[in-house]
Amino acid sequence: MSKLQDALNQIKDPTVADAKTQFEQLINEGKAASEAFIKSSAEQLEQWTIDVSNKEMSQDEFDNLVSSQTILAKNFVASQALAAQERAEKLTIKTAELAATKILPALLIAVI
Amino acid sequence: MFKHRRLLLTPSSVAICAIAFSLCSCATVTKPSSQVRVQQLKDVHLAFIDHYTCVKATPATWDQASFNSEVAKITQQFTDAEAAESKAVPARKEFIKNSAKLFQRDAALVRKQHCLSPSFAANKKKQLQQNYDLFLQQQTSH
Repeated sequence: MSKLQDALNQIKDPTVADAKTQFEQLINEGKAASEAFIKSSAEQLEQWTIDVSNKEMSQDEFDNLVSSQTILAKNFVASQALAAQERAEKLTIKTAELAATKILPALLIAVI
Repeated sequence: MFKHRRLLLTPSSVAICAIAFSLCSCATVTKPSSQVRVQQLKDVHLAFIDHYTCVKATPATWDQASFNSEVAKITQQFTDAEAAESKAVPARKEFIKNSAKLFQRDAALVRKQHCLSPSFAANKKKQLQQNYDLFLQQQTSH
């Protein structure tokens, strides 16, 4: 079992089950991407989630990293060809939003 | 064989080689000022994160005045770097503006927590290094 799965398994709230599955799929898809920025964004987001689950980072710190990465991702998405922008946005900005709005709040309740 | 050697050592060929060598030296030693400025912003931003990383989970003694002064100084460096960029290359101005936004967020977090966890500092430095290095690589290849 991966460290990300270990972290997500700590969330027992059934209302977040779909979000957990979606998040894991997006992270895996991002990590498999050929674009260095998307791959790196997914790897970093995974690491941040694991660090919060291990109580090594605060929520404010996680939010800082996510909001900073969103600024960088917007720039990256804008630099992509029009046809590739939707996928790039899904694997960077949307995944980070999902982590910040659904995964992190449930994870913090589970680990605190 | 001797003919070739004579050809290589003529005064004109030596002069051409000398000019070519000096041009190559300039290209490798001198970086455009824009790259130097971005490299300086990268160094100062990473040093700021290092400075405010908690040591053994204990915040260092908090000095609000010193912190405000440091943030003001770095903010001015970002402002000056952005102003120094030509309007002809809007991507550079945009990059510096975005990097300044990241710095302001980091400064706000330090203002709130007074120190940063070692995990956050490691993650943040990785994020910043990738941001600045990608830009510097693009500038070098252009």
